[in-house]
Amino acid sequence: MKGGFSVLWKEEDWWAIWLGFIIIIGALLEIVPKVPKVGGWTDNPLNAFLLIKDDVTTGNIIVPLIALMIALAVLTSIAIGFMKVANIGKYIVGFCGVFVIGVIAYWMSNQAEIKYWGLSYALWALLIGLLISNTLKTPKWLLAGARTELYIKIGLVLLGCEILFNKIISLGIPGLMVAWIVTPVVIIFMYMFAIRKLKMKNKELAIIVSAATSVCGVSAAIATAAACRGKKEDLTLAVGLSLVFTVLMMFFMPLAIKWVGMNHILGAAWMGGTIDSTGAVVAAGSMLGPDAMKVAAVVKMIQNVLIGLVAFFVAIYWVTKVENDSGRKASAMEIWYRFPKFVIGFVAASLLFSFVIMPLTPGDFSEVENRFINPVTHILQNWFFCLAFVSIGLESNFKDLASKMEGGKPMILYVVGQSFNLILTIAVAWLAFMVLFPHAI
Amino acid sequence: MKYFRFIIGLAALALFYSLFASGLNPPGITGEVLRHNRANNINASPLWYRDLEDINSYERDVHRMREEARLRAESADRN
Repeated sequence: MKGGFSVLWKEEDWWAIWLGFIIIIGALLEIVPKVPKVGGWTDNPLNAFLLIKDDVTTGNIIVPLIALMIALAVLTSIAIGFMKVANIGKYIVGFCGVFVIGVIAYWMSNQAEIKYWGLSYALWALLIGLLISNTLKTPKWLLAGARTELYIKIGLVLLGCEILFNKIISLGIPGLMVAWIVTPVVIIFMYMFAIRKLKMKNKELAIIVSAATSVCGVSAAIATAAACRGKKEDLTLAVGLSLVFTVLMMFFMPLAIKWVGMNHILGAAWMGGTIDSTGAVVAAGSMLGPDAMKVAAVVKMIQNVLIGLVAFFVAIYWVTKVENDSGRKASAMEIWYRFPKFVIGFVAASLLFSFVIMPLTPGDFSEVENRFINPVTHILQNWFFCLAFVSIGLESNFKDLASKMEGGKPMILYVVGQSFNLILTIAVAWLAFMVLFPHAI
Repeated sequence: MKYFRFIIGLAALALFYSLFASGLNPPGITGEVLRHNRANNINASPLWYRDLEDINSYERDVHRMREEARLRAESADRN
């Protein structure tokens, strides 16, 4: 092993695996308590921090949030200490600042009207971070807590628990055709288009935009950016594009489907396969009726599972082709050395839950989800992604973002790729649901 | 100067936020989805399938719909 066994406690990728699995094992042994999350509110902003049951306030989440902040600060500072990348005391102070901004981002996104618009915490976390970095210039004490890559990688290992392979059969072969045939074709088409036609120099940005467009928006962008070691600005651009176009597609796709009188199940499959984020898919699907909404959500869920494979193959392609500029075939050791190791944790968590935990747990799959995933790993994964978006904002500036635009090529890539995605998805959905399996649903 | 820029930026962000949080609705047909979300309390912000509280019931309902479709097809074949 290059660097000896010390890489196991000196490299961030390995620490993401250790910390991710400490949390997963803690959840499975039920020693990690239910993780707090900021609640929803409509008119009274303080309601976001209250525990309300049957219109009666039963407590608040301030103390649990402070406990979570301390727990995450201590947990991540172990990695920071071993890697010797920062002073632990300064890191903890910075982490608390980043966490507070994360709470504000969640609080902003949980307002009822903001939820109806589909404006998620990722947008607000980025905007607050960008505001601070581009006006005040992020203070050093706060910057010490902005560990974007570490938060993303731990979040991705935890996300692995939700990549459950039993989900892919939820809609039978037609669902698989829409979600699993179209998606890889669109990614490859978009990447080729970006490199060969648009001549984009930034290959990382090209693959991140391609994955975000074809798989599931923000989550896919995060996973792919980490797998190909993309820059923070690349991820910010891809996420920004995805968030804007998701809202537009949520507004206009159901209207177009109703206007042309398309079969609602076909329309649902089309939207599930093309609109980037799940919430927007549900909102758009709901316009066509409750059955269409459920079909659209399940198609999206099947597509979400692809994120693990996409991250894995992007990581392999990057270490063997893109980063290997020697012109000769990379040896197995070279591939291993360059391979982003956290992907192993991501895939291992997915395989563990899909093929070990699920089959061993009595009852149906929802038992595992309700006991281990929903109250612990899922909420923590969202917290880590939120911290990552705050950190990205704090570390980015508009000048660097503008330099990544290459004359609007990422925008052209998104529009052309999404148009291709729309055409191919409707064609395959029609073939699957109307021609080959007309009685599938 | 940097604090002045920060205050201006913060005011712009607050304005942007309150525009959406205040119940703004695009006119005519473009606001149809938003009005539908409001009427049915649909949260359009989840990024990932697990963020949906009802995803397990959606899965079960889709499974039931598939079973019903299969039975309908078998019945049609027999007839």
